[in-house]
Amino acid sequence: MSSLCATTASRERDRSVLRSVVLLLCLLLSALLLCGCEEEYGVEDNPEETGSFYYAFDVAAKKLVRRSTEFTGANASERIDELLSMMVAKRELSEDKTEISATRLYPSDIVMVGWDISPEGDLTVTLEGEYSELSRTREALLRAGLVLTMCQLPEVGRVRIRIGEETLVVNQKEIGFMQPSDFVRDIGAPGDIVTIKLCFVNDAKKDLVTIDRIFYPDDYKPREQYCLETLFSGPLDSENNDLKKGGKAINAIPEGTKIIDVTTKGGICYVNLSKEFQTNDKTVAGHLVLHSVADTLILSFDYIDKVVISVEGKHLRSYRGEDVPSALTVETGTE
Amino acid sequence: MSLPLFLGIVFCGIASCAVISFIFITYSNRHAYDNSKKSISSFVDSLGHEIDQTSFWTESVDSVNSELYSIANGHNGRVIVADAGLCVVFDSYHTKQGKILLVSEIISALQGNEYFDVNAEEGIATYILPVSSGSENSYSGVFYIRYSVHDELTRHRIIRRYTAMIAVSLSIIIVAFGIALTTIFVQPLHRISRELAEISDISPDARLDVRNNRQVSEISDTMNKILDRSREMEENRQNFVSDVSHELKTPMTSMKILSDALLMSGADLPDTVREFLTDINSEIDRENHIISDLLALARMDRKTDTVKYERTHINEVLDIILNRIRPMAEAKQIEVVCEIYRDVYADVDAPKLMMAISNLCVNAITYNHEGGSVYVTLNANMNYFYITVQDTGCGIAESEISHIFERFYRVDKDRSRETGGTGLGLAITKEIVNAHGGQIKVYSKLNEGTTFSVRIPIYKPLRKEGLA
Repeated sequence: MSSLCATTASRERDRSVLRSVVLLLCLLLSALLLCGCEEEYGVEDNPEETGSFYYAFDVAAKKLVRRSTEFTGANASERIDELLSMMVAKRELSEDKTEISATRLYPSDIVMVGWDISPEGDLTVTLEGEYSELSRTREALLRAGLVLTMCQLPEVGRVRIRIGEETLVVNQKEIGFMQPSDFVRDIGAPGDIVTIKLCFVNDAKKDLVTIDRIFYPDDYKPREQYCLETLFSGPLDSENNDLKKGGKAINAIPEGTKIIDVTTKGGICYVNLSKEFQTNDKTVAGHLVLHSVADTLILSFDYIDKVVISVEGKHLRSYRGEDVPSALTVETGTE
Repeated sequence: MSLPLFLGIVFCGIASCAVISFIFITYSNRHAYDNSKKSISSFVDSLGHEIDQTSFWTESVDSVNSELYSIANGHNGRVIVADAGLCVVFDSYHTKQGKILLVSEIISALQGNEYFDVNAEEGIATYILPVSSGSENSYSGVFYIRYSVHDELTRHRIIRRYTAMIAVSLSIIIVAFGIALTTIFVQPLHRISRELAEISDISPDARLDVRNNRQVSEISDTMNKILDRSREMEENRQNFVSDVSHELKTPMTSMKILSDALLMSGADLPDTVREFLTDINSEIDRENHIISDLLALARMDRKTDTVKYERTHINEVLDIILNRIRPMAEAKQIEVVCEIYRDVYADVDAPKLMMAISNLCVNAITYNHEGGSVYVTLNANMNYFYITVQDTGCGIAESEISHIFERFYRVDKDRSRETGGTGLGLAITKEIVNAHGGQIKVYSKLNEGTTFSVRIPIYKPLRKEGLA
């Protein structure tokens, strides 16, 4: 009997030890999970979602959160007021202190004094309060939320924030009117429309002819590279329709020429081409071909002042019997 | 070839190759981009220190821009640097300058988290890391680089290809090794096993001669030593039995002469003495009978008494046997019937065959009821002749049948004692039949009778080649 009791007691002890170990492991696991779950600033939305919306800031999650809404305002002014009220407490209401800032974009210590909009659609929102207390990351997120929300209205084209009487200054820079395109959700998304000036050699082979072309770079290649690739593919038939004979554009770039790399630094664009560029074609003067490349880049991008051309990494000193300057500028007469 | 062993070797080998290849490729994959990441990371570290000395976050600084362009070109990629307010202060592609990046990975990097991802299809890696400011755990901006990892991917593809080639080559080698191993080691073992089995059936001089390699040769030698020792022991046993039987026979013969002399002397012996003398005489006869049977068995064991084949008319042998047992049968009123289906001439050792069949016939009469019958038949085909001895006696229990050919085994010891049996008759019969290359079978049912069937080759067996 006593041995039976001893066995039972021993089993009870074992169970209790096992329970303690399991509990400890669970606590450890929870701690680890919690440690890994510290909230970070972020954005929680689906930009492709349709319908009216406004942005709020989830303080606990530290995230800019997009919320759906339905406008009740009958006119633009009412809708602007309605949206702004959802995101910023008005000064007169702030004394009530019943509003929970977690549901708004801006914290309760920042209030809206007023707003006005120009006929061109430039909305100015005047805020007051502890704006400088906001962290730079949070401030950027709140600013994004405000601009993206307001610009959904057709009447609003751009938004500016003023703190009291002063224009908003961030990082010693004045922040003027902003629009949705100033906020990037995807670094690789298609950028702005770019108009480039392609300088082709004319069919008389005596001069260059400039043709404007629009393209939509997808931002994963330097624009200069897109531009040159477009130049190397030659003029379109439709572009030559309006040009008279002797002034029509031809592709004078030697066939098979490839762009090894192109970078711009300090206003100088360095272009490295493949060896096919040096194919000798006596029918077209060397300087025309070189300026076809250089002038296209300089006229298309305002940050490029000069162009340096290399072939297979070697700086081009002469081309088709002509000396090549160390850096090419726009050919006189090319516009 | 041993299939399980071969499959085991192949499976273990191929599994090991697969595991090693997997580990190697995984490690290679994980660390494929370490070099580029390390160089970028150390660049960003030094960038952070340099930026701290300048006003890069508020205005363009040529020296910093130059380094950023260098790293972008060096990695054939794009570099973006954003400040703590997510505003782009440098973009090597000039498209996002001044814009606010609402990108989760960028925002996360400002909290100190790195991000690295590879798009294997495009051969592009994206690496986002924070730019440290002067104080610990404080970040003044984010460095973003998107660059080509074609070289690393190509290298990784080559590594994968060569690893696969090596794994396949090793697998082929392992399969070949498995075949060689099982052929070299297992086949000889199978051969040893077969030859050992054959040794027990044939010549006493048979030896094991499998010598594929040193280990197998050693096994062969050891087995041969064991065979020699066991043969020696068997010979000693047989000699012992033979010697003992001889030694016993001499005094037995003397005792028989003396007891016979006393009984036939005509002297007036008391009844008790005469009765005892008669018993002593019959015990001496029985003992002589046992010793004779033992001697016969010992001779057959030693195989010195080989079968002397002679062309014999089996029908005549049966006639002789039946004539001998007829008086015994008549004494018990047992009918003996013999049915001969054909004339049979065969190569046999006639005296021995006679002994063997006589034992069967004597048993058929001995263990039969009064008024019973014994039925003997002789038949033959091209290869064998068949003799059956069937009785209507007491039969043998099924549990005993497997033992009846054992030496000294008696089903009913008391009855055997009365009839003078030695327990060696059927053992001798079986030895003689086996020595002729024949077979003996028994069918019996209690209280109904027993049938012995003997099959012996017509022609003497061809001598098998020895194993030596």
